[in-house]
Amino acid sequence: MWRDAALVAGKDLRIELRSKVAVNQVIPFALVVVVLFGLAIGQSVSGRGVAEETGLANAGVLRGAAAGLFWVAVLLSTVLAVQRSFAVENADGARDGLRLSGLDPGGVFLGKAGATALQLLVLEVLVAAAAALVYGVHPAGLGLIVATCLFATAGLVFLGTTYGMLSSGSRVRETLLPLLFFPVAAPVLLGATKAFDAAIAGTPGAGRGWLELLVVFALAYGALGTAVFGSLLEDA
Amino acid sequence: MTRRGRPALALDLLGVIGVVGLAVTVWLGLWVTPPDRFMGNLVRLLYIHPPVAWVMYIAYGLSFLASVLYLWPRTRDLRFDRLAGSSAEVGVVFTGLTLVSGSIWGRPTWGTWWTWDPLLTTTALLFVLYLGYLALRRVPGEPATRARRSAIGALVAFLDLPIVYFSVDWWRSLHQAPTVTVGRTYVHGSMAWTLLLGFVSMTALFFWLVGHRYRLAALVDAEEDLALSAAVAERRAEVSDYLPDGGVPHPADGEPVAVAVGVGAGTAADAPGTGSRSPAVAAGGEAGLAGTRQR
Amino acid sequence: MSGYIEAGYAVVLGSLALYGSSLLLRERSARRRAEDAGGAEDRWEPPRQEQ
Repeated sequence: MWRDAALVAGKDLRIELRSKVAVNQVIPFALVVVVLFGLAIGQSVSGRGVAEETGLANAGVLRGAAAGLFWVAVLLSTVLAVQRSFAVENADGARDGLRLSGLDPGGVFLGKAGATALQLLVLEVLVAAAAALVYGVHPAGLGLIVATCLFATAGLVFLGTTYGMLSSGSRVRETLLPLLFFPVAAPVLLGATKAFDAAIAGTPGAGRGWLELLVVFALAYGALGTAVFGSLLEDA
Repeated sequence: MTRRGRPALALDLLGVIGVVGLAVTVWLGLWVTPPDRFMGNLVRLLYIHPPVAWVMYIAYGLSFLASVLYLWPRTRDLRFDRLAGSSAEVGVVFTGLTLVSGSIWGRPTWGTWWTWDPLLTTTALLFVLYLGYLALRRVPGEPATRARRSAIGALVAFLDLPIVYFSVDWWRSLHQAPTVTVGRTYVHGSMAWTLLLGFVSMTALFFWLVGHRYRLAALVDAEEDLALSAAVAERRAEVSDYLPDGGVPHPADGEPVAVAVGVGAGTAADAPGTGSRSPAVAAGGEAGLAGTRQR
Repeated sequence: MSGYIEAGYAVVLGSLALYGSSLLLRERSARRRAEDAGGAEDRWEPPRQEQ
């Protein structure tokens, strides 16, 4: 199963390297979202003089919300990444090829999830840097931040790949996937944001419980996805 | 199941229990029971809000069970899928009502229409979660495919319930101890009985609603099947118009033939209880073939 | 204060009544349509094997 996973992941990553969709579209999308949040929430100073470092009157608000905004941007990007992951299967009957190839379906699931996760992790590094810059956040507690990113991404990707397969056969998949994905992903948003908050505030201990939540989520949906992907693949 | 068989009577009985019980609950709740020492008259909403919330959990639990039963090969039956969908839809209705009644309770109690307390927030997430599930059910496809997809969707959604609950609960701690799971120890006397009656009546009403929603789904499925058979018969009639007599394999006993008309008339993987197509197809098929032969 | 309580009861019970009656109405019309079309109401026969 793991070998099949590596095969599928390699294929997906190779497709991405050649088409560069994630790099050209999804990452810029996330960056735009980060900036848009600043526009939406930030209030400009009236009059002269810079009130805060970044030049906005309520920069404190943005700084406080930075973790949450980051993760919302990541969640939105996950949906795009998952849709892209399954769009590559729609062309030329690739899905039939996948089904008939004799690959272990659990392996296919893990492979696709893994490839998407890798792309998202790269995205997260870039977007985190941008968010730290734009929202005036000083990162700390790197260990907690990295662990949070890993497990949150794993959970999101497991969930997304499952739902992505579920909705990939239908014509309404573009609107169905977000509707299905976001409510279930809410705990990840909550946990990751709180963990980031703890890290930024310099109290990583407070974030440990949230990290455990993320681990549980990732394990649960990893297991569920691996188990059901076979029947989903058959139905598509 | 005949029209006036035992299941139908049981269903009617549930409805009566539900409606009468609710009526009595309202009478008791609004007029007979005394106001609470701490909450005053607001305690009267307690006879409605927790029962509605409790029913919501039953609904989703039932939907989950039915989905699991459908996915389990030995008990695979489209009726379970139908039950899962009906239960979830009624559950969504009750979830909406939980939100509304909770909000109405919150306004005079805490002064605002919305508070981010754990139960209310969890309920809001559940609402959207199961709206998504209902949307998933509406995606067109083969009955078996649709059912399997919905069942898996239900699993994914239900797995999230405890996670959502715990995460939101850690996040906020305004709400009092859940009155649904832990009995309020200072509710006693007539208030306790009224509360109990509220729970019983709402539960009965829930099952009545699910029963009727299930029947509606069954009727709609049967209608779909009939339309399908009619379409298949029409196609076969068209085909047999163009082929010489005997060109189309003639089913001796009226069995539907797997003609390549692009109509997936069910695979071997279809569950029993899909509804009868054969009689209607046979009738239409025979009529079509008979018409050709007379020329 | 009491207005909220009556509102709460009214909304909950009213919505349930609305939903319940809509179910009954839709069920009745679906049953009528099924009877018109061929009377295969709630009959469940296992599908015979395709050839």
